[in-house]
Amino acid sequence: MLSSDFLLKGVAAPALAAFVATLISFWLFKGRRAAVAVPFALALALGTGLSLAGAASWFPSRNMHWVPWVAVLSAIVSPIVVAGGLAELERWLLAALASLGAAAVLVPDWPELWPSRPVSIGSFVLAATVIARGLDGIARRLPPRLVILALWGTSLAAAGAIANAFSLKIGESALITSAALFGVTAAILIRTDEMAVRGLALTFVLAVVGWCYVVAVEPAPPTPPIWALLPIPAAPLVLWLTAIGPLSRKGAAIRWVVSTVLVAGALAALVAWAHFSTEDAGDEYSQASSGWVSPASLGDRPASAG
Amino acid sequence: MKKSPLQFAFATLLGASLAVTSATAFALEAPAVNPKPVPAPSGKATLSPENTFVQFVCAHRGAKPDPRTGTFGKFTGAAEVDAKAKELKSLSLDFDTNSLNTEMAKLTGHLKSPDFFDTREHPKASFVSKKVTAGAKPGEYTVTGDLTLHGVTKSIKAPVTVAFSDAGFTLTSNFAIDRSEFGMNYGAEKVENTVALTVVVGEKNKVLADAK
Repeated sequence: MLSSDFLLKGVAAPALAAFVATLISFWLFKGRRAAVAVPFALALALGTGLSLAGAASWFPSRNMHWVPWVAVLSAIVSPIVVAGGLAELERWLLAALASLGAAAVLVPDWPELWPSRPVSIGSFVLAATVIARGLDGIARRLPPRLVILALWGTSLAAAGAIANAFSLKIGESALITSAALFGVTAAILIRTDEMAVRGLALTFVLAVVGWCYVVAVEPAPPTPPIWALLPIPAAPLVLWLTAIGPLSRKGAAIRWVVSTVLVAGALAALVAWAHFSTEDAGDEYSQASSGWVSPASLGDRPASAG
Repeated sequence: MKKSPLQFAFATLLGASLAVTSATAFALEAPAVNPKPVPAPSGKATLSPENTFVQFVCAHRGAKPDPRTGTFGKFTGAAEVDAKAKELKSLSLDFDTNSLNTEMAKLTGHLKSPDFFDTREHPKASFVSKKVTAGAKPGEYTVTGDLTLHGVTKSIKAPVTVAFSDAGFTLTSNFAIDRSEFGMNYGAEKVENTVALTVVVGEKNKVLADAK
């Protein structure tokens, strides 16, 4: 279970840092400038949480260590993707290039990796780019508060699914990302800004897709990969159902309710899938143990660390 | 104590899941009672899962300990003995931590994760004896050596019983380690820190259900 120390350093601290930094950036900047400032606020909060909680790998030696760095570095690129004066194709290309940079460090070079590294990199870039651009489109059509809540909820669900399906330690690192995003979300709920949300989209995607991907492929054979984690970052894309088409013409209250139900439902289904996909052998507590005999019957067993 | 909304939200999300995934717990298999002597030509025996039984056992804290068993499907080792003097000289074992297996696939996966062995980061574990001290009775020894686990090396002492015959020797050792000393701190409130280990030279290792 999460310790009080972690809740303070890994959750409260980054959330507060993000909240304060985002409010200051809103006070200083508006519009496209806010799109630049808010991802930096998120990166600052992420760095704060990772440092305080001791979860940062200052010199990454493997793919998992790179996820926080990818999230922080993407804060530079994320606002550029939504900058004014760019053609839509250029935005897609920029998002794809940023995703390619992330994939280069997040996709491992293990011999047993399946699909192969080139295919995995291609799939990562395609997925991250489509989700990032899809979220940008949604953020232009739906209230910023609704969109940022969907992003935060998704990051929280991803952290929970990672802790449940794989490792609490890695789930905690993903939770730091979610806590930082919570601080930004709280600030945007107070003072809404469409460009701030759009500027965050790519950072959100690379962080959450990053965590879900590295954890999905982490189990070593014969333990199978946890593929069920991969669709979780795409959950907010269900908002397209209320952003366009017949539902987009409904009243604001109905769109809010339907959107919330859609995202929550998608996340619940995906987290449940991730949970049950790793449940094939029963749980660790309820399954009867076989052939247990008292350790005492095995003879003397002096504790021996010397 | 009242929880904050954020704490409550995450706790709700994780609560049920951790109840099913977390702790290390193993079902204990009884070790061999009649190990078959392993030949040691020119004083050296090669150890492998074919002739050496290795298991580790850990239980939950509280009223329902539910001990669980784990083992390694791949390991190599060596034992040096003086058959004439009927003495144990040295003992070493190298484990492929990715070959870890238990009766439950989810438990196996969790044990391999960064919460415990972190097998991607630390694919090897090993024990190398540094000193073998004869005990009070013939065949009894205390083996002092370096155990490397989870990237941490600690000196440990283990009681060992060795029996010699014309066909070779057998070795049995039951001892315990504190997993937290090796940086495995996960779930200390639910899972015992003490892990019991059994090594029997002369008995084939048992691969547990999910690794078959």
